[in-house]
Amino acid sequence: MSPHALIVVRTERRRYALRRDDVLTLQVASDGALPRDPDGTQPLVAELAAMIGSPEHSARRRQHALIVQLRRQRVALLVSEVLSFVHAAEVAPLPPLIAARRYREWAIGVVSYEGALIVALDARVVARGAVLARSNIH
Amino acid sequence: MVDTQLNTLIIRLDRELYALPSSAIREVARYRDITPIPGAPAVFPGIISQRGAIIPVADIRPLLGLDTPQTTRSSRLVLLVHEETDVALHADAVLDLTAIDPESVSPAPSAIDPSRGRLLSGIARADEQPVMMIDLGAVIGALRGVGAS
Repeated sequence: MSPHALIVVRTERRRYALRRDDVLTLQVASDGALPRDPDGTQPLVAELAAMIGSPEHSARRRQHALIVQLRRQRVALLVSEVLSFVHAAEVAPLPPLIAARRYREWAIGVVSYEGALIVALDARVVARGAVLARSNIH
Repeated sequence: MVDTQLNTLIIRLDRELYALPSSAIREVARYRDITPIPGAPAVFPGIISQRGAIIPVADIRPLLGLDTPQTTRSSRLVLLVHEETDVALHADAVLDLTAIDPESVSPAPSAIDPSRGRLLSGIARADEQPVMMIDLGAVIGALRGVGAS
């Protein structure tokens, strides 16, 4: 897999990497709320960890939002902290034994970061899941 | 003289003893932090990096109908390879390398749950304790069948 520019983030329990190309911009969210855009719209807000099946929940009042632009909707994925921007990192594929058995394709591979393996996520797939979850509720 | 003994590594899963063919075992490592893969089934708690290679970790206790107690200081990862598939098997403890006389291996009892029985090649005794012989090919096959779409 070719090198990717990555954003490394931390949720309450874990660190993840996301491709920079998948993230439109970063914002600060207070109590889960984001400022409105000039056109008056607001993105759909979802906690990243909750969207990938992790039971953790952040009690932080101040979080960071990764804004992902889908075709018809912007989604803000909330994380506890943005740790770093990596200019170019190799994303190694998942072992085939696991890759073929996932029930959701949130993970695109793994990255070695500060001596540990962290999972690289497909932010667009996660964001689409947030939109789908919202549409199932309403 | 041909060695007809079955060389095995005895591991403990929950409260039961299981034998793995030692020819498949590459290494036994202390249990350490595993990187979970979001979206992966529970039998794959995550991955580890071992000497630069990314190895999937498998917890076969649910496949055997066993409880899954928390990891302890005795917990180990048994790194093994079967037909070019590398996997690190979660074990609650690793006991010993033991040679088992094939004559002492009896078929798995018919009363055993078929989903469990298909993962076993028989039952033997080691140090007067029953030891379930793991059929590694069947286990890898079962792992390949988990959650497959």
